[in-house]
Amino acid sequence: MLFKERRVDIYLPIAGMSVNIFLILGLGGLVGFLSGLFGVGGGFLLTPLLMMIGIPPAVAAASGSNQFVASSASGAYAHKRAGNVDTKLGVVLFTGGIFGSTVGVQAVKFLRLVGDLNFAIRVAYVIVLGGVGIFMFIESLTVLTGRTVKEEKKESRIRRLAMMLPLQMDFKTSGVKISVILPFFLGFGVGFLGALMGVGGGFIMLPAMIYILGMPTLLAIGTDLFQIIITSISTTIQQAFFNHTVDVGLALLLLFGSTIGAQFGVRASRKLRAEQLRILLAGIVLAVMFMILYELMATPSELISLATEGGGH
Amino acid sequence: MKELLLQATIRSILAGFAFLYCSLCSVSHAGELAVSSVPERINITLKYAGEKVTLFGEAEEGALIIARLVSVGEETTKLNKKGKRGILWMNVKTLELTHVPALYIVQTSGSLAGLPRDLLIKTGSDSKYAAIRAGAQFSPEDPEKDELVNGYVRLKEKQGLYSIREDFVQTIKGRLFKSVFFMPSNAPVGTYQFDVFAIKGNAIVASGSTEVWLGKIGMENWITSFAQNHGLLYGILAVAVALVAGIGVGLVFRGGPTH
Repeated sequence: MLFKERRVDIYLPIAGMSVNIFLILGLGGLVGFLSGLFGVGGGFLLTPLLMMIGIPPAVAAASGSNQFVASSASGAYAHKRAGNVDTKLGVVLFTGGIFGSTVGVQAVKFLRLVGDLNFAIRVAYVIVLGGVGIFMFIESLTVLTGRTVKEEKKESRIRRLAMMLPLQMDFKTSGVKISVILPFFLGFGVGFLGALMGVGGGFIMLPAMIYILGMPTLLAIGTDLFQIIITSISTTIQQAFFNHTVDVGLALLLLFGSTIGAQFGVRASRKLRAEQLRILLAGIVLAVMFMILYELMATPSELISLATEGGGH
Repeated sequence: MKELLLQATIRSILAGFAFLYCSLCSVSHAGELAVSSVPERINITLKYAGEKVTLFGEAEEGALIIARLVSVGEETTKLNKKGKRGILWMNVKTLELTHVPALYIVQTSGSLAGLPRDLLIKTGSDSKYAAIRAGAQFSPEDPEKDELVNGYVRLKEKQGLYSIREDFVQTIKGRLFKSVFFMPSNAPVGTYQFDVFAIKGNAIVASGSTEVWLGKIGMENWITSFAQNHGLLYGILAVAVALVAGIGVGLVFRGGPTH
């Protein structure tokens, strides 16, 4: 029995511990299933799940970024060939993304020194997941109940504000004319959160591109993937260089799980309506948010914790 | 398994000779306890999931055996202490803890109850880890040192890195004893030492020690040092591997996942 148990374990040299292969494949599969089902990356779930099984927070976030490089590569390639990528807007987004992830990696470095990366990650999660979850919930509920007129008015107001900013640029592929500042800071924000939380940021970027920048959905998905892949590459390299926290083995195991999970997710998604899918995703996002919020607010059973650092001892 | 038993038997015989020799030459002071471990080297490979280390030895018949496995060299640990700020719980203090071992496992052949306290402390086997408490140093110094050490010990116990277990040393045929220690997978690489004491009449009658080495070999060792020493190249390769794997797996499934 003991021999059997040991055969499915694999030692992760950077995380400095052994994990059950099927547990990691399963986690990847779950995240992949959700990403296939909803059309956004499941990064917001991956880092907390990895932390739950004992992977040091910094290693979980950094290896997650590495996993996104892999999982978004095939999608981005397919979309590029289908002409669903606005390269010009993509370049602006990922320039912002690189700046954002650079600042993010330095923030991770600083917070690890100060010792409270965990808290910062959790608070970031609660804010971002709460905001996105509530927004998506309300949006899909309005669509489901048939009140869409009010929504459109709101969108145009945000875009009108963007048009007033300097450095206007014409993005022909997407058919929008807006200030460069807006997509730059959008990319910056997503890159920063990506480094801090180990997320690709699709669940913030997609709604923002559709509602704020006014891009067509398919182009938004393609450009988003293009942007995510570049941002994840930048984050992975910087995490490896500054923090030594990228575990390639962990990332690869997650990748294989998530690719297979995604196939089932896509199949399941064909049986549901878009609004139903979005409201379901909003529910999951909010559930994760409440779980983390509870952990922040409930009296902990243990006040003293190890400030675990990845990258060996 | 057979090989292991044979090895163990040979070691025990050797240990027996060593013990006989020692008991002949030492009369007045506490004797040397011949002990040996199998294995003496633990290699961390891809499939490493912790390892059993068996300690063998020979002691006077009827003696209580206290065996301690402890990591050599101190570990620097950063500890966080949570406190409530407003409605949220967050880390309010971060301290560096030094002069504590990464691993500390004590196993005995019988109950420790009734042994005098100074003997427990001498053998490092008191249930409150006095040896750890005495050595522990915080930077910056903290008035809550005891509470912090308690918390640290609890964390280590949960990880399987600290423990004190009675009746975990088996006596075979009166004089021979053996004890199986489990080295968890999260134990850091380095040298570990067994300290073994034979107790009779509330006094140490013999003691001995032996070392165990734990280290990454092969690919695990290469990956770790590569990640540490060539971070940039490691990052670029990690990205390259991810790109190839992502597109490759995507091609296998034709089209890959829709994002």
